[in-house]
Formats: sequence, structure tokens, C-alpha cells
Amino acid sequence: MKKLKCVAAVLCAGVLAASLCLAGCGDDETQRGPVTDEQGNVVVEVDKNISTTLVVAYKNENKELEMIKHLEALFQKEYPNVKFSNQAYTGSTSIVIDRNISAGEAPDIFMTNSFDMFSLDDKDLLLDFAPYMQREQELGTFDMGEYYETYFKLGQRDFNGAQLLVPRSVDRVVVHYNKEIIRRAEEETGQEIQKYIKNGWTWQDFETVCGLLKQYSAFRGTDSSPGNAVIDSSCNWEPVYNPIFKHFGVKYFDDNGKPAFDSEATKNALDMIKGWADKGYIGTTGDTADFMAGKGAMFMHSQSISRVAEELRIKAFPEVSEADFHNYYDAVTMPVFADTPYIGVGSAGYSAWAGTENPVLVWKFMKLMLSREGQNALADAGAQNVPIRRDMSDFTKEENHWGKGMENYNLRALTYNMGGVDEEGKPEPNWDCYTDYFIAPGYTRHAVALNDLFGQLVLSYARGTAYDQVIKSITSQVTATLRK
Amino acid sequence: MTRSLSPQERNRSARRQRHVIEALQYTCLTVLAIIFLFPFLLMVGQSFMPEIDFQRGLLFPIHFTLRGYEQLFAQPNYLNYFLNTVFIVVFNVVAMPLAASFCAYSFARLKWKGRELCFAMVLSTLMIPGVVTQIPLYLLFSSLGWTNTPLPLTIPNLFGGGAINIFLFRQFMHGIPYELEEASTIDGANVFQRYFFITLPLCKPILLFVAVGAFTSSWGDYFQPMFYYTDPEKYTLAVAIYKVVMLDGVSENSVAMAAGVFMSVLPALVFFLLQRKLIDGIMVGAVKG
Amino acid sequence: MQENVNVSTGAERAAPPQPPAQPTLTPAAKKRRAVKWLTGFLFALPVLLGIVIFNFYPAIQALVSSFMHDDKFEWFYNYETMFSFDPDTFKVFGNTVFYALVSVPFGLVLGYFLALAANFKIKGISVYRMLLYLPVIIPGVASGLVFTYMFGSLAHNGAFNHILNAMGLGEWSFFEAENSSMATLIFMGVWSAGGSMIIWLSAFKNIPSVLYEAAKLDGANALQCLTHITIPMSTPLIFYNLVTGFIAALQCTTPLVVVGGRFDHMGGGAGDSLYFISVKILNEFNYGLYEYASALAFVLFAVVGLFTLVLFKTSRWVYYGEDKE
Repeated sequence: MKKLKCVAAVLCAGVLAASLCLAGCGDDETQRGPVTDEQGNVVVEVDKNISTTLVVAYKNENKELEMIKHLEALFQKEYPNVKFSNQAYTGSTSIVIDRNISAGEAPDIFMTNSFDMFSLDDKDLLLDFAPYMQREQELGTFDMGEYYETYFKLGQRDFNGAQLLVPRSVDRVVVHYNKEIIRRAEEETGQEIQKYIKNGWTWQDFETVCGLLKQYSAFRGTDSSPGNAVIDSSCNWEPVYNPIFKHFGVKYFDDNGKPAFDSEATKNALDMIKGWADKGYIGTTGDTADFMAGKGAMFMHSQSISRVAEELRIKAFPEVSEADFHNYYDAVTMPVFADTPYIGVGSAGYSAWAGTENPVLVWKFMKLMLSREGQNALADAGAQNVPIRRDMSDFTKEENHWGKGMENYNLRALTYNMGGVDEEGKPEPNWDCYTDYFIAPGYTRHAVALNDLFGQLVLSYARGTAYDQVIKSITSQVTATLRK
Repeated sequence: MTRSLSPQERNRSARRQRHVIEALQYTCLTVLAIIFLFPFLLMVGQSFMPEIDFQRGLLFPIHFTLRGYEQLFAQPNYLNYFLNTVFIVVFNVVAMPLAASFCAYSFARLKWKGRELCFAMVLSTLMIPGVVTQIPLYLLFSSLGWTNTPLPLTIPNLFGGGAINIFLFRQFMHGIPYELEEASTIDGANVFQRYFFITLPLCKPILLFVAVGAFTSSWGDYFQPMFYYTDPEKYTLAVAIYKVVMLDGVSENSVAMAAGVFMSVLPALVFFLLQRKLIDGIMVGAVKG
Repeated sequence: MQENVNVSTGAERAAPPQPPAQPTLTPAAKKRRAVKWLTGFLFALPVLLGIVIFNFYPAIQALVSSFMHDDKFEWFYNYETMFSFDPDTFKVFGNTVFYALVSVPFGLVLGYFLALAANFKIKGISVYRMLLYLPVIIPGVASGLVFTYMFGSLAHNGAFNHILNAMGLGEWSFFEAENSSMATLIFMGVWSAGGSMIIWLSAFKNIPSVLYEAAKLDGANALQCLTHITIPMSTPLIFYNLVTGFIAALQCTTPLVVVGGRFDHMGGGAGDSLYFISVKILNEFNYGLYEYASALAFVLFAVVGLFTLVLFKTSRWVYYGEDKE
């Protein structure tokens, strides 16, 4: 018995020591600098005959795989001996990629967005493209001026520094709407509604439209119920609420990084959104207007017009042909405030693992994605996103492949006032506005959690929780999250 | 209650009384059975229900459609999910009872110093909540590159097959007369032969019980696989239902219900086929403490 | 612990008789003993390795990482965050403990009445037993799907609400409101009462019928039979099932499949009224906060330990038969 106790004690001690060791020496993966030559210049050229395999992880949705395959085929024309292996994933990007990297299945290139990028950067997992971009700029082979800069900023550390994410396309929220419902509502109520819905419309127009639609029998509630919601607004989604918060002047954190959102401004912004819930324009308890089933009139989302059109047609208008469908559905810009016009944008694109063996080759891949050919290859694969290049925003031109076959829809909603040029070639203002409240140092690692919390703030208040209570609860949640 | 009726009482009124009591008992049980099966009958009914009927708020379908099942199986990876699940289930159904009985044999039949202490250690793991070990295990398996493979859900079961199963086997083996083994020892059988040819065949009821337990737990588990599967092509059925149907939200009710029916059919079938033995097995399992 | 003592005495009886110990051992006998020890140990080796690799090692590692923050040792930092900053902490522990305290006894009592019915001596009773037990074997995700639908609002065509509405009882909120969701979750336990029914049935089976016959002769009524025979004779079973039931209920993750992502927190329910520890740990894990999640898991471990300890300390009511007294 004594011997056994000894054995047990030794065993326990061993396990303890081993776990201490393991826990103590985590991965010492530090971000590597760029590849340089003897003169200290950043290398931006790769042997065309290089023979290697690049692993690409893509989020398993929409037509991402086809898009990636088109790009890869294009890349192989230039680098014939480069092979690709594609990994699908679902769920939270930051977690999946972190897991795959720690599991030794690190992809070289993977799809990310600005939120997940921050979490991954916190763990020093991302390759910085800035040196390569800078060197190519110096060599005159790359011009940042050709691109919408906002979307590159979204891919930078603290929105101002290392380029960790290369945007694949412009990702902007639009309002999708069901023309058939608008038409029927106009017939029944005898009011004109469609005339308010146009690019650059205001929140006031939006509320007028919702109010008029609410008079239509499909949305009118009984005494006890507010009736069906008019719009799937995702009001707890940052590209939707953040422009409103910004208009009212909401400050999320003060200069010391302490929560500072308990203010008159926040209350006003929240009241505006709550107003929609109270009047039954939006649902807040998991009840949706069910736009995709043909019940809701409007839908705020960044999904491409072609994809929404296809899904809505199949689900709600199976008898309508594809060619006629533009009479039943269209899209329009997000509503804005006339004095402070902001439209929420996010960034979806590709990042690379800091530990990749071929950083220059990966950059070449990214560069190809940004080129005219690359952007057209994406469009050929069925992507309907707006190209990231300024010179390609005009979808009516033959050489720009995007938006082909969709000319009957209001594709202008996607490029309206984002710092490009209008139909007559006049420069347009830039209304794009990205969410940046979490860029305080040390906060980016909690970007995903903070984003969830501010979404909760909007939603809980819209559901009718008292202001003080909501603020108190979210403030304590935010404080706790920042400590975790 | 019926016990109180002695066989001698053969007069009419007593018989009538017994019939009334029996009728009451049947009614009571039938009502209970209906209540207990109601949700699952609804599930089956609704899986055949067209969307129009559902939107009208009907509980059971008037019209009949297979659309839910068609759409369910039209999902590109559904066969993959099924095969993944079957692999895990088959592995565990074989491995868990064998591993558990093997170790239990040591605790029940072999005499060695430290046996009781080791057994107490095994039992003490019942106290450790799964979530405590979940995260380090996750890190361990992912550092071995086991994510997106069935390995984390199968390999650990080779090591003893679970403390509770070892406990059940040990209890059961204590109930088996030792004389049989003694006889075979005299015939020159070694310890492996005694375990495999003498004791194991006698453990059939508990083997079956543990095997079915392994089946139901690995067939229906979504929590564990959720940690390890990130590649949607490699999901198990339960994870696919959880992520695709419940979280992402399938708009059509019949598809969701068809998924639920598909998930439930096999366990129900296994249960129906083995029910007599299983209920006995559960009772054997329950008698302890 | 009592359990082990009890079990091991049983083992002593069943084990083969030992040769009388000798003061001096011949080398051959020594070798035989060593071989015997080795055989036994090797048979148990898989499980011993198993518990070290898959239980003890991860548990210790979780404990170590619960004392770390951002890869550095910061002793009680995470625990401080948990108890002085995180507003969810008391809610999740409160919810979980409340759920365990109510649902486990509820299930046992319900199972008892079910077992009474399932113990009728009539033809075809085994079919009824099977039907009553069937919901227990339906996989969690499948029953989650069906209960989400059953308890849905009228707008979601929830079955119960349609029935209640037809009966003129109006619309009930079930999982949709903060004050009714916990009750609904506990009520859902009705459908898994088949599990404890079987346990009661086996308890009934093990009570010698002579006891009832004797009691009847003494003129005892049904209630007296219950309180003086059935319950005392079933206490070991009740005790065992209380322990395992509490351990399971404290780790409950059912809200993940019945309310899912419909409310603020994943699996939190309306106003976080169904936010349980295990679900909270999963959510923190999904934010990549492994160290904080480990600290939470350890507090859950402590709660489980406390429950078990209290149950064992107060287990004097458990009747282990004459020979153990």
C-alpha cells in the first residue's frame, strides 16, 4: 500500500509538472518580418516555376468555393507549378482558424472579416502585407489609389497600420425590398409608397414608408399584437446601428478606454430604433418579417442582389421567370440622415498565416485577386459583389464583368456615394462608415465579444427593457469582458 | 392492488370488479402513453406536412408530401454526415463494452495489491464534470491534429470505456459463480482465455446494455463533436442538425421535422427490437448503490 | 464513499479464496505473486492510463490555466473577474442550482407515479413500459427540435399554444418570457421521467413481497406500505439517483437545443433566465477565452463536489439493509 501511494504521488507530481510545462510554454509564434534581399529591400518577385502547394480555407457559404477556384486557375496560368488545396469551414472564423493552426493544419490563405481578423491578430497569427504593398508602390507595380481605401483600412491593425486582411470586394449593406408587396400596399391604401424608395433616401423617408406599409392589411396587427414586422432589419447588427449611433454622437469608450456610452446621445439613438419596434416595423424577439419567404417588405443585408433575388424567387415567387423578376424585387441604398450621411460597411477578404512558407507567393495571390483579371474572375464565378477597384465600378461597361445579367436591378445602390464617380463622371462624396469602437489597444482581442454586447444593447432596449437597466447591464458586461 | 385478489374468489361480482379495475388501468396507461408520445407523433406527422398546412396552424397534416425528406437528403453532404456518424457509432458500440469488460475483469476477478485504490480512482472520475476536462482535451487533441476527424470521439473509449460501465461490469461479474473459472483454470486455461471464453459470454445482458448505451450516446451526441468538427463536410448527423437546422434556421418546418425523424428512427428501432432485454438490462444497471 | 465500502465488501466475498499468508516466501512463490500482481495490473492498465490521460491530466491542466491570464500566471485574476466583475456569474450559478434542486426531485417523484402505473399486473404492460420509456432514447437534438416547435408562440404555430388557444386559455409565453422559461424547461422533464420510472420499477422488483404480505396482515393501508416499506427499501436507489441526477443537472446544456441562439446569449433563454454554467463555459470558449472558461469550469466542479458532499454527509436516511447497520 505504501509503495502504491508513492507511485500515485510520483504520478500526480509528474502530471502536474508536465501540465505546468505545457501551460507555461505556449506557442512562441512571433510575427515574422517580410522577406528581404541583400540590400534590405523587400522581395516581391517569385520564381514563376516555383513548385509548392498553397492551402486555402474558405467559409462554406454562397459561391466562395467557385470564386476561389476561378482565382486559383488564373494564378496557375502564371505559376503553373503551384498547386492548391481548399479547406471548407463554418462557424466563427477566428476560432476555427486558430484551432486549425494549433492543430498543425494551418491554411496559408484564409477568408476572414474585420472582426475575426482582430482576434487572430491578437494571437500574432497574421501575415502583414504592408511591406510588400509599399515595395510594389515604390517599384510602380501597385497603386493604392486604384482602390477604395476604406476597405483596406478595415483590414489594418487598429485601422491604421499593418495590412492584415486584403479585401476581396466592397461589402456594403443595402435594403432589399419586395416590389410586389409595395405595389399591393399602394393599391389597397391608395397611397404612393414607391416614390420614397430611391438611392440616397433618408431615415425619415424610411419611417414614412414603414408607416404607410403598416396600414396595409398584411402588416396591420390586432389590438393585442403589433402585427407582422415590415422589415428584417437586423437592428443589432453593427453596420445597421453604428451609422445611427454615429449620427447621434455616441461615444463607446472615453480616452482612457472606460465605457462611456451612458449618455443622452445613446438614449436618442436607441429610442429611434426602439420606435421602430414599438410601431411594429421590426421584430425583436426572434420574430422576423420573413422577407425571404415573401412576407416581409424589406431586408437590410450585405448579401449580393443576385443571391437574394434568386433565393426570394425560388421561395416566394416560383411562378415568376428570372427575366421578369426585377418587377418583383429590387434593392436600394441604406437610408441615411440628410446632415450626416453614413452607410455601414464591413470587410470580407483574405488573410494569410504569419507562418506560411511562401509569404511572397501569398502576396502575389492577393495581388492577383485585386487586379482587374482577378476581380473579373470572381465575377465570372458568380460573385455579385462590387469590385474593390475604383475603375471597375461601372457595371454597364463590357470589360467589367460584375453585374452582368443584373442590369435591370438597381446595382447603383451598391456603389452610390462611396467616393467614386457618378454616371456623369463627377466625383461623389464618401458615405462609407466602418465600426471602430474597439480599436483601443488591448480591446481588439475582444472585438467579437464587444460586438455581440453592443448588439445586445440595441436589442434589449428595443424589446422594452428600461434604459438604466440596459445600460447598467451592458456596462458591467463590457467591463467584465475587457478584463477576461 | 390486483395482488389482493385471491384465486379462490371466483364469484361474479369480483370478476366484474376486476374487469372494471383493469379497464381503468388500461385507460390510465393509454392516456399516459399518448401524452408521452404526442410530441414525437407530431414530429412524424409534421415531417410529411406541406408548408401551407403548417402556416394554417394544423397539428397533423391533411395533405401529404415527401418534400421535407426530399429537401433534407438533397443537402449535398447528408450521406457524408450519416457515414461519419455510423463510423463513430460502430466503433464505440464494439470498443466500449469490450474495453469496459476487460478492465472490470481485473477489478472483479483478479487479485492484486492496490486494486481497490485504483478502482476508487476510476470511480472518482465520475465526479469530474465533463466541461472541466473539455477544454484541455480539446487543446490536446487539436495539437495532435485530431480535429475534423472521428478520433477524439472514438479513441478515448478504447481506454476503459467509461467509469460507469466498468462499475456495471464489475457488479455483474460479482454475480457470476466463480466455479466455472476455477474449473477452466484446472484445465490449463490462462487468464485471457478465462476472460474471453468463460466470463465474457456470461456477461451478455450487460454487454448488450452497455453497447446500446454506447449507441445512443454516440448517435445523438452533438456537444462533443461540436468542439472538434469545423469542416461542414465532416459533421456528424447530430451536429449537422444542430448547426444547419437549429442555428442557421431552416425556414421550412417539414425539413426540420424530417431531420428529427431521421435522427430518431434508428434509436427507436434498436430499442423496439431489443426492448425486453434492454429494460431488464436497465434494471440490472439500476440496482446498485 | 459509503458506496465504495459497500461494494468492496461484496467483492471480498466473491473473490477467490486466498492462500494463507506465509511468513517466508520461496523465490518461486514470490515470482508467482509478482506475475499475479502484474496480470491484474496489466488488465487494469488501459483504464488507469485512460483516467490519467483523459481525466486527471486535463483536469489539472484546467486548474493550472484557470490561474493564468493572457498566458501569464495571475493567480486569482480570473476568479476575481468572475465574482467581482462578470454580471452573469451569479445568474448562471443561481439558475443552474435552482434547476438542479427542482428538476431532480421532480423527476424522481414523477417517475415514482409513472412506475406505479407501469407496475400494474395486466397483459401487455411491457408494451406500455416501452412506450413510456421511448422519449428517453430520442436523441437530444431531435427532441430539442420538437420541443422548440411545441412550445413556440402562436406566430410560430406552436402546438401547445394552438391547443390552449382552442381551449380558450389564450397564448402562453413558455420559452419566450423570462418568468416562464425555467418552468417550461422543468416541465419538459415530464417526457424524460421514463428514466426514473425504470429505476423505481427495479426498486419495486427488489422488495420482497413477504414484507407487503406481512404488513397487510398487520392491517397497514397503501400509504403506510409506501412510507414504511417501499420508500425505505428503495433509499439506496433514490440516493444513487439523487447523486447522479444532481451531477447531470448541474451540467445541463439542454437550453442550447431548445432556445439556441434566439436570445442575447447563445442558449441563454429570455432575459438569460435559462443561462446555465455549462453553456456559459461553452460561450466563453467560443470567444477564445480558454483560461476564463477553465476558471468557470472549476467553480462548477466545486459546486458539483459540494452537492455530492452534502448528499453523502446527510445520507443517514439511506437504508443499506440489516447487515450494514
